[in-house]
Amino acid sequence: MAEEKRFTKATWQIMEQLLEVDSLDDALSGSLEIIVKTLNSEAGAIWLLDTKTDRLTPMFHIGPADISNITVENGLGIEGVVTKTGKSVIVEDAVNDSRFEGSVFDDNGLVTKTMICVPLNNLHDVIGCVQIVNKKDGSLYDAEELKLCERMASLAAITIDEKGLIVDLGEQKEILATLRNVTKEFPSGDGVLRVLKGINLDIYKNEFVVVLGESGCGKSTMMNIVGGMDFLTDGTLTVEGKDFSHPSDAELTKYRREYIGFIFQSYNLMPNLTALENVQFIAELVKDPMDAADAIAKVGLSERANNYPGQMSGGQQQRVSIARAIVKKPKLILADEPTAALDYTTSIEVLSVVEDIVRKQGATVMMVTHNPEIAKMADRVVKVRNGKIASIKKNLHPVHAEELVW
Amino acid sequence: MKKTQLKDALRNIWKQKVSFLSIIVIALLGVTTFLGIGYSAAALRKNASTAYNRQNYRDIEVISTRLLTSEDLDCIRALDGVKDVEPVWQTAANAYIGSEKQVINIITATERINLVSMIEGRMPKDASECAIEQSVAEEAGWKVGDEIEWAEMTDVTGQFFLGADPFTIVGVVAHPDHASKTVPETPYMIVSPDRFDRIAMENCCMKAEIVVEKAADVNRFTKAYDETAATVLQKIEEISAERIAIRDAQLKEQALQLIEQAETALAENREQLTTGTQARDTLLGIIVQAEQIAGGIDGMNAAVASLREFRQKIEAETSELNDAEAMLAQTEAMIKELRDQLDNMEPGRWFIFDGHGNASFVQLIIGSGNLESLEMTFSLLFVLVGALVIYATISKMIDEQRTLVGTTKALGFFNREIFAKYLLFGLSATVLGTLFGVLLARFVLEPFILKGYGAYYTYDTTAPTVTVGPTLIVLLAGIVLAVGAITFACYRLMRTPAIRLMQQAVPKGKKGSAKGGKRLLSLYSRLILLNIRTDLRRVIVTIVSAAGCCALIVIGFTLKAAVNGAVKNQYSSVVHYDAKVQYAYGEEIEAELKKSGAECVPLYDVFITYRIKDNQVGELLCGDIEAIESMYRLNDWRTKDPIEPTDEGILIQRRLAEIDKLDVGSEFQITVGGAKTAKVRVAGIFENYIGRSMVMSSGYYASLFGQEPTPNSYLIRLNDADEEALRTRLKMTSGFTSYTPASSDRAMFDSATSVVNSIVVLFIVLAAIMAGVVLTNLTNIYVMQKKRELVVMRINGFTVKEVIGYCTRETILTTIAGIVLGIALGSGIAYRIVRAMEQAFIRFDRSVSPIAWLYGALITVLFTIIINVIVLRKVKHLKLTDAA
Repeated sequence: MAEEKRFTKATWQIMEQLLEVDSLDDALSGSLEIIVKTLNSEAGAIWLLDTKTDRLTPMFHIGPADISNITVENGLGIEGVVTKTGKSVIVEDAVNDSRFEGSVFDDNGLVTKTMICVPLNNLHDVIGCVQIVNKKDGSLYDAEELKLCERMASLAAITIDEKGLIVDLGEQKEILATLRNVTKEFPSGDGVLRVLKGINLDIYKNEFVVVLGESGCGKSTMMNIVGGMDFLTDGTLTVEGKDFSHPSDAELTKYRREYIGFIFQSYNLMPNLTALENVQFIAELVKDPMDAADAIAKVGLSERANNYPGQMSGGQQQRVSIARAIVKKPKLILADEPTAALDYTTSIEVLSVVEDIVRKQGATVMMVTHNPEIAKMADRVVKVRNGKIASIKKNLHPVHAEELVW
Repeated sequence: MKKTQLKDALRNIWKQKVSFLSIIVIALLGVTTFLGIGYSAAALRKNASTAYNRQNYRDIEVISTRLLTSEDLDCIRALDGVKDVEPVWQTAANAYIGSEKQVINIITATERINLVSMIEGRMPKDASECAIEQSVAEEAGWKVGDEIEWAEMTDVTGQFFLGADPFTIVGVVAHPDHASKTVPETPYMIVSPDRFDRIAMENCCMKAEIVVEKAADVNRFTKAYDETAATVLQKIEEISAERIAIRDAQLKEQALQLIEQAETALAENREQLTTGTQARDTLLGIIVQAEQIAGGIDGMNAAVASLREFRQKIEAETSELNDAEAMLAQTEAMIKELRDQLDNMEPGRWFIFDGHGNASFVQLIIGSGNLESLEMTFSLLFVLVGALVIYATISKMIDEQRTLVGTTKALGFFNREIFAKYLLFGLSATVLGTLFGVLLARFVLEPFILKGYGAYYTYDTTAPTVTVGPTLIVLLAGIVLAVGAITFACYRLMRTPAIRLMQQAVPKGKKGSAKGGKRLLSLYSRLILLNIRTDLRRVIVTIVSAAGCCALIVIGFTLKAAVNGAVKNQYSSVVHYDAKVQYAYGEEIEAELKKSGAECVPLYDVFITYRIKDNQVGELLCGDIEAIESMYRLNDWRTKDPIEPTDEGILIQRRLAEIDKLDVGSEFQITVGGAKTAKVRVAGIFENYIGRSMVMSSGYYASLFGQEPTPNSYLIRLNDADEEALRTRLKMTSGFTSYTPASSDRAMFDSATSVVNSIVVLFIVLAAIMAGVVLTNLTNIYVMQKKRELVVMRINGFTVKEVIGYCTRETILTTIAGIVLGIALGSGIAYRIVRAMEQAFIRFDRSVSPIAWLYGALITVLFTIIINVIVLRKVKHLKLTDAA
């Protein structure tokens, strides 16, 4: 009885999401979140079908496994079969189910124990599927729960149909960096404080990833590990296939020098050097840097090139710091709350520059922020909660920096 | 270092110029004092060596107890390595102008070796002229044109000195034998060789001055020089035995001839001698002749004495002998005795001296050595403070630039690249400071010290020099020290990960200590203690700098107290006489003294040479020890009790015992009057501060030399007598020689006192510079660092006074700690310096000086207050808008 009420309430919430939220992306991800929460599940994903390639891609997924870059051929695997046939599948007990041959989650750090996969049934075709994996209390899915999923899927499908959605996977992206089961512990008092509890994340080349999360969720620690500023306790970090899980201090420095560009919240420019010199300072570190003056030009500061940091505004300093980050042509640029100390207008200036370097220079940027508005600019939005990846969302249509409002 | 990195590093130096300057200054101070003193020591030796070479000073000197024959000289000249030999005639005398007496050594002018420096006038041209040494001119006021009326011979060699004709002083000179003015030595009066009866001496001379080949090429104070001289000295030693044997045989033969003549004369005239007036004169002639024979031969003192006594007896007879027969028999016995003694004659001996046989030369070695020991002491202080200043400055700067360092680290700079920036900072400051220090040492301090020391030596000391070895060592040591301090300062930072550096530093200490528990201190006090704990390094350096400042002042004033204390102790607890009266014969003097109400103690007071390692000059007091002790305290240096009078040995001063490591029971050799040599045993060591006195009882003297000494001085205590009146009366009394007030010894301290006074000034200036630069820098750092905190305090309603109070509370703690440490450090170093400055004839008061502690504390507090008043003015002008 109680369960029924809960399900009814969830259905209402899903309807609200789908009908009242403007952005379809947000509506779908919100619905998935409601259902994953209601069914007390570990992970979930909404797969959409790209009709051009006839492949399925997870537009949005929740849970510790990063399956962003996985596509599934229509008709293959559970997701493919459900989409192809338009029929729901419930794997009640994966361990003892002979039909089950594993799922994409199994390859990405999550062992499937029980699963529901329901089709997104448009009026005309099946456009994808909704997938829920593993109950947190260890119990198995039942038919009631399958029904809730199907209800949610049909509501979603109607909404998609109404609002129109074109799924374009584009080219498959090349992986730059991979984190697998990364944990980080800090000694605290007598015991240890586990800040990261098993992070699985891929970062693709020429991608703009935004990491969202509340204070203390572990997002900065994660970024420090990716940036080679801190050692991970367990797990692996590979960059371009090279293992950087347990490097020496010197290797880590070399890694930062050759792979990473940093943009800090408080700019951290050298006060004794002019804008141009601050950029040269870093350019001299690497073998094949960009021309420092060019880098300054790219952030639109050629006229202030000979000013000292003390003579510039915060936004300008942050732009110098971006020029400093791009000048050595790093594989990955990490930005830690780069606009936190800036007002709206200057923030937009800075974000425009970031957008520019991703879209035009082909840079890869991973930005940590607590401002959800900025997430709209991103190719993917990673939410971190309590030391784990809570969800990863692909933005089908990232907006331009100038369009952001807060 | 990459181009832009260098740019950043250089601009960082410019921005932190106060810190940079403070490293420069501390390096500069250290190097200047260290090298300035070192250079001065080297310059003293070099200048002395140059002066000695200019005067063609002898490398070796040979003195024989049997005089040196011209054949001896030829033999020495023929030796390999001997460049030149020149004979010198010499005798001891008292010279008089009116009743003014000077004890002098008469010495002949030389042509090639031991040339004098002419100060005034010219050298004597004939037997009627003489030149005197500068010291005589200064002390007695004798000058060119004065006539020395007569010279009273005080040595057996005086028999060869021609006559009583007066001398005209025609020149004032500096003799290379007496280069050091502080060594008490008998001055020379230089005469033409014609003044000595060289025919009577059969062309023998008293001394041979020898110059060794190639010796002038090297500095006389080096090992190389000693070795060059030692080779020749060795050769002279080798021929000496043979030469002495020849000489002894020759003398013996001559003596025998004379004895035979005397015997013949006695035998031939025996008949006549028993009667008649001629007998007295004939016997007298024979005895005088015998006396001369014995007198020319060392080791026949007993014979001389008995002959003299006999002569006096004959002389006392008026014209005819009362008992001629007995006299004749006695004369015969004496001649026989003389013959026996001649058979058992002690062999003669050559004394061969190298440079170390000259007291002035040794004094120079000691003087420059003293400077070097000062140098070491200083280096200790400055190495300590210097290293800490570099360490503090760099670690302070790194702490300030923590985030920046974290950023550069995050950006992929290697530790070594970051380190390079701070290394450049510290090292360039150190090297600059060192280089400036070298210049300052060479062009300021060295000339200053040399000018000060110039007063002690007769030659020109002022030509400065630079010693390359120590300079390079100092440079290298500075670099090593700086690199060490910088590495130490950077070490922790280098080990800390970038993110930790970019975060706010957390105060050290136990977590959770903030809550609960009983509190002994107020929050305010705890905050200050916490600040100290968080910022321990700066606090430690502040303490050490304050300590260094305080130590310098304590050293300065302790030195002053040591010198003044020695003077005070000497005249309050050792010297209990008012003056010393010297006389030729004493009966009337004693009567005069008694009449005036003054107490007096007679004693035999004579300059002696003693040989422990080198030949040294000292003063021997002989008499009744108990009586002497009533005027001149002889307190045991350990027990402080009066030493029991003894006939079993000599009493020596504590300083002598210390220098030559003598103790009761040790033995050494003394030579009295240039001829009488004996081995003495130390029977006691007494506390004393000035001079080089030794004391023995007349009984011990007699046991050494076979004869009690004849007193020649009185120590007198004036009591109620009027000193001036007494002096005037004594001057008119026959037999009177001189009257010397006891306080005249004080002059020996004068040079030490003036040196110490300039040291005190120098140290206060050094302390002021150190405080001015280092402490100001540190206080400045403190305020800058706490700026935000202070602004917030002001915003929240703390008054300026309260904020300043908050800042000064730490200063009060650090200053107190600094003073305590400084007093300990200063007293320790001062003790070392006092010991290093002590000379063979001066001991200082070595006890700690509470007055110096007081001055050290007060002046340090004063400096601190001035600095804080200046720096903390900033608090008043804090902009409250800066808190954002």
